[in-house]
Amino acid sequence: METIEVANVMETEGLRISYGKREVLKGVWVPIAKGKVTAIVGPSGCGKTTLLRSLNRLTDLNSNCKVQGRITLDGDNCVSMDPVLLRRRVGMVFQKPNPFPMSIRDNVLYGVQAQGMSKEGHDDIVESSLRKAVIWDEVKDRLGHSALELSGGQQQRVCIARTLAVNPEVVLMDEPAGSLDPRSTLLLEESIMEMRGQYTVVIVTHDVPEARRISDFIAFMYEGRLVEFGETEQLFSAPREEATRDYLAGGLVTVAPVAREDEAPAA
Amino acid sequence: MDLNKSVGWLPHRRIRLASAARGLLAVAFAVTTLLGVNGTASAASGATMKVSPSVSSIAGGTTFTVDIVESASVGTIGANATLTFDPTLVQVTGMKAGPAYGKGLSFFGISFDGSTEKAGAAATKANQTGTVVFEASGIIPAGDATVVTMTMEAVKGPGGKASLSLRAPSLLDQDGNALPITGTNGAVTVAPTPGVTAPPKPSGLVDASALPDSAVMTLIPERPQVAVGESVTVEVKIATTSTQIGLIKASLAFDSSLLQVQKVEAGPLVKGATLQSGLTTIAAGIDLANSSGKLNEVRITVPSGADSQGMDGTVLIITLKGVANGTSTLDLGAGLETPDAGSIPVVAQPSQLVVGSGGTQPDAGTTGTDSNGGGGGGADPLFVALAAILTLLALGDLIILVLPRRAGRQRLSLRRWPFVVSLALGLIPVLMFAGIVVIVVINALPAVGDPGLGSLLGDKFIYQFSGQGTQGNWTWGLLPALWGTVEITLVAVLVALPVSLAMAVVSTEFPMGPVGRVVRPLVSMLSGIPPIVYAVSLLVFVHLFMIPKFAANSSFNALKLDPTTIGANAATWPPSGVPFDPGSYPWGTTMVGGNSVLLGGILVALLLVPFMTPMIADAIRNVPTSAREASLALGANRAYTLRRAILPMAVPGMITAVVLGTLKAIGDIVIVSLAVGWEANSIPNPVFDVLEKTPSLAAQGANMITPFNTPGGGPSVQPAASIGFLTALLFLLAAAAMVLLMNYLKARWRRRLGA
Amino acid sequence: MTDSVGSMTDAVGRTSDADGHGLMSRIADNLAGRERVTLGLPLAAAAICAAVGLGALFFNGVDAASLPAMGLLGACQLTAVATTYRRTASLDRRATLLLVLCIAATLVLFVAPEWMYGWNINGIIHHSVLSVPLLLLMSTATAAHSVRALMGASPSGRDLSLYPWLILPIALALIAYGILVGDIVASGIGGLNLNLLTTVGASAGNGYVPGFLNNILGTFLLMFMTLVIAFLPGVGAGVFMAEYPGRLAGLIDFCTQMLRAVSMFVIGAAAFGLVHLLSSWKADDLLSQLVRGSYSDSSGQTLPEHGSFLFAAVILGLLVMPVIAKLTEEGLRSVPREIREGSIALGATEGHGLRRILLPWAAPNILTGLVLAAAEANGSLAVLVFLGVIGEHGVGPLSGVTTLDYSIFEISWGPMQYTRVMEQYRLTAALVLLLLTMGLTVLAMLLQRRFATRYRGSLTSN
Repeated sequence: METIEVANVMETEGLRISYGKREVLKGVWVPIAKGKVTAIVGPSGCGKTTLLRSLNRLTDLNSNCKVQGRITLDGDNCVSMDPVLLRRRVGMVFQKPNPFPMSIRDNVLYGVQAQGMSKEGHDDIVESSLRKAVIWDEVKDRLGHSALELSGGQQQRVCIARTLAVNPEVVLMDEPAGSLDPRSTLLLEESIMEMRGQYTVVIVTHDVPEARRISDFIAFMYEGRLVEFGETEQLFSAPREEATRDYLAGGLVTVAPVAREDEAPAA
Repeated sequence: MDLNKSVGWLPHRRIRLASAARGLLAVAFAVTTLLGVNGTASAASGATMKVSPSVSSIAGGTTFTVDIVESASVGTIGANATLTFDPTLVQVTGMKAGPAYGKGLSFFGISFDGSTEKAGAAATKANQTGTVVFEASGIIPAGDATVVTMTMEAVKGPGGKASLSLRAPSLLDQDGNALPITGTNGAVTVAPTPGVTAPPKPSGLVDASALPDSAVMTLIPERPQVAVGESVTVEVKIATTSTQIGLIKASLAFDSSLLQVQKVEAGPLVKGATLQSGLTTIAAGIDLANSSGKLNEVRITVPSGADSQGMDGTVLIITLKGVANGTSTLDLGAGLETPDAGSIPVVAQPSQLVVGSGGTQPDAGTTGTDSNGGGGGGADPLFVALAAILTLLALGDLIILVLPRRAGRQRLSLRRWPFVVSLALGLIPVLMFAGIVVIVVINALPAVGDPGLGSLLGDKFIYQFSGQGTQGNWTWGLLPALWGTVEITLVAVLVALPVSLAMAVVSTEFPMGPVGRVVRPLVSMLSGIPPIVYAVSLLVFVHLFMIPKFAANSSFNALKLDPTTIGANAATWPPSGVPFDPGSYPWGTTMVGGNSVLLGGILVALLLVPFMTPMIADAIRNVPTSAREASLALGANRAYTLRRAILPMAVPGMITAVVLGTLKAIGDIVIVSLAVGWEANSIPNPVFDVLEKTPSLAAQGANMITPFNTPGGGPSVQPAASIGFLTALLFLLAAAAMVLLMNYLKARWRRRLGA
Repeated sequence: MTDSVGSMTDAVGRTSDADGHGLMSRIADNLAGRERVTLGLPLAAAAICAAVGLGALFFNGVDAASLPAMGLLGACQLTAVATTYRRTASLDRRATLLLVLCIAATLVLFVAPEWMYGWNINGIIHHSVLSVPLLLLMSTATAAHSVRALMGASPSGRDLSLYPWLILPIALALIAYGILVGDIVASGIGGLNLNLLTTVGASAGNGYVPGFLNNILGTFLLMFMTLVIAFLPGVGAGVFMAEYPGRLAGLIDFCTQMLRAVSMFVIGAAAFGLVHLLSSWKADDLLSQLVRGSYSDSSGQTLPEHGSFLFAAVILGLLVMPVIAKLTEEGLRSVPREIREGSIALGATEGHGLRRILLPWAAPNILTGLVLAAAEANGSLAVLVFLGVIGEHGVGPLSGVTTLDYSIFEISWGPMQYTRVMEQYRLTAALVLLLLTMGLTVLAMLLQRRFATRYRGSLTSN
């Protein structure tokens, strides 16, 4: 396996997360490559959402949650960092679109205003963000209208625009197409492709074909452990693990993978 | 948002130091303020009444004015005196009340509208007797005030020096106690008018020397200094030539943080006389004195014969004990009355006692205003405010300091403002509630001693409205009022609950088409009816229902109802024991309100329904739709859904509604007092007679507290006021119990549902 | 607050809008025409009984018809029982029970004399006191059962048969309220004139010039000041309880609950004690002025009142703070989790999220809280009983506190000089007060509706 020269913008090391007595992540090493799209896949209950939410410390909202291990962003330790500052560098798009009950323009600018960023150039920020989210043409005439008037797919893209407006280094996406129809999904994927290069994307999805379409790297998880990690095509054509092959092929894992929690992935 | 966890707090060392400093400062302020706030002796120093003629000499036949001015360092409520003059030298032509006394002036007992100058009959009588007896009442702030302005005319004649003397001047402070007062006389020299002879002396001239003399009372401590823990006696002595003393009143103001009263007994001069403190017993007066710093007027009824040759000796022996180092002034307030309640002027001289080493003086700076008697000295409000603000700041700092450090350093420490601000605001109700509890408890405590818990549990209550109440035989049993409260509340809640439930169900689950559309906004509007309207509408209900159904039309006889037609025996009618005065009982047509628990209960129920209905409706509405949808989808009808799926989840809300409704009923019964009266005298017989007058505890309590705030109130309305506060305390405890019970029931029910 | 239930498809599959309609079409199909009549007879008889009952409630004379009415009801119920027996050869338990009760009630009404006395009750009781409850209860029960029988005891039928039970208490209550309001309007409208409302009542000589202007202004001033004072602590407490749960929040919750639970009487008494403690009868120190209020008389002297608007507003503010706090808390709790997370994920601080998302979302609730608070403050006469004055001396934060309902109270219990003149206007004042508060309530309802749509859009129904 040849190593690919990529810089990792984020990394987790030995990440262990438990809710109360239930251990959800049992020691995970995952690198996130800069400017690339990394997909996290796996059957339900494997801990992918928990992993994703730990990257911007949304797990802190749950008082039962215990996090052990290290997460780094550009070398900085995420766990000891000010979480508000962390979240200004790592944004998130949710499964169910959640626009605020405000106008489209206000929605997009919310993060900008919240972080006290520049007071000028708002119009440009709005336009460029909506363009990157591939929704500018649809809404450019009604920026003052409530975001709630849009369809689900449109709302989701506005949420993406909103996340991009604050220029995060990493964008996390939690099954963003989960509640969308196929056409909106396509538009969504288009916007993700637009983001590649300028932004780093980590996307959790249960839609395996979609992962194949849009991601550069895939992390396959099962029951709280990272089973395999590698380039997308690599994993689809020549996976190391049988479990990986089964899942990527048909979504069912028949053979439980060998426990490999303490091993860093082969570089 | 539980950003508690993610946002850490690491105050800089400097911030910590600043917090600590603020905290210490606040504590220091609080302590000094508290030390200063106690019953420091007031400087109820001497008051004066002065006669001020406008001229010092005048020709015969001209008019001049004489002002009688009083001056005191505390507020006063009454002034009276007798002015004597020689009617052959000057005559009274007119009298006018001083502006402060306005309409409260009377001469010779004749009430006088002070706005005119002529006084008619009063002037005539004055010139016949050579005296002007005036009494003035009003609410007069401290300082100077003109009581009366007399217009006088110098008489033409041989002239001479007309002295205008004040006899028996007296001034009452706002508690009705006499202030020690000295009178200053005036004089006018009338120039002789040549050629006019002296007018004859009027026949009714009063011999000025026969008017009561003044007296002097003094305080003589056994020794000038007492050690801490030691006792010392202070004698109250009197010296007077008057032989007409019926009642001696003495009050003592002292610093209760330095001295405490242990015993008060009659002196040898009045041996055997009974003592009272204000209107209560000596024991109660001593307790009050030791907390407030003022031993309220000890009344000594002088045994007859004790003053046959004037009085000169000790009338009262007060034993004091030193408790802290300092110097305490001892201020004597004195008053003397003749057997027929006329007042005799008396001058009282204060004294002082040094306790222990005489350490710190009572800090005159921190206790600015004079004592008001009764509820304790006033502290300088500015100080108190400052202390309060600082304490709050310190509290905030303390909380911030105590917050544990969480992971994640935070550079922007100002970010915590929502927490701090909302906490500070949220603590306001906490402090206020604590304050309320404190005030009620403090004011209720005297009642525990007097009249004592035992008599409060009695079942007879006689006070102002009972008709038989005179001050001597007031009894304070609270049980009848308690029973009244229970009865009315029970009736009210039992009536209101089904109605509320029906209305709530109709607004939410069973709209019944047009009926539902009407009921919902209607209930909102009904909640806007202010309670007083319910009370006012009482009369219409009485006329519509009570009179036709519970008594014969205004006159039993008018209906010519034959007792036998209602199954009564002519010989046994009206039934004995039933105060059945035909036609006027229980519903007199001229009475403002009927007296009935039934009516009162129904009115309160009408008050409760708009209050409880929205609560129950909200409780039902807050049940998640999924419950309703699931039940209906399983083929249950709406009644079943309501009963098994929705109501169980709405029970906590309904419990809240019932408990809060009950509490509101208990409180709002005051409004309904118009229906059921203000005093509960005895438990009705039989106990369940809902037609009987059985007022509630709240109304009775309110009635007893109200005089507290009027001039002349204060200790003279004890123990009524304390008992009123005790009633309030009972409510507080009951409400606390019910709220805790409610929370417990709700929690338990929720756990049962597994939510 | 959409009413989804009324237009919901019911379990049988038929869409029913207002359930009163389509009644006839829902009668069970398996009933023969004659059976419909005999089963429906008790319904008609019940209507008659109810009418007689209501009539007798107001007019003793109508009570003469109570016995025949009850008998009629029994007879009709008998035919219904017979019908069911003929159809099913067994006795319907419920119907028979009702029949027995009817007969028993008829007997009771027959035996009771027109005027009853005894049982040591201090009065005599008219026959109607017995017959009205019996008539109303029996007619409701019979009507409910009859509806149920007509529907063939189907599930929807059982739902329908609940209606009479719901209607009875509501109707009685509405009648009572109707009498109340009607009386106020009828009696009060006579004295209503513009002069009365725009004159300042004042003592004149030995009498009194009637006028409610000061009292009306006072009502508004007090309400306004109370809201201003209670707003911040109330909202603050609500925010704290919703956002930072824990021991401290529990303490605040308890205290706010207690402030609501203790009756006005306790708070009034405490206020009273406080006035007495803090101020003296000279009105010249600042604290006294603030607490007691004062006025200047004609000679320029400052004299004290019983209690100032400021003080009363503080006390009433205490009373209503819990209402605002509770509703603020509810509003904040109702913010959907996604919205909260969305704000956090964008790196907004607590304060920013609070300001721009949470509080606007809770704004309708806060407004409702303010409205309810105003209504409660308005009704808190008990506190004013201790502090209030008639209001001759002007209206302002440091004047003696007076409101319209206090003046009504004074008319009943005040000094002779006042009541002699004002007695006639008591109900007029009540009418004016009623109109004022009704107006405010309606205004509040409109405002609430507007706020709800503005700040929440159509994201989630509430």
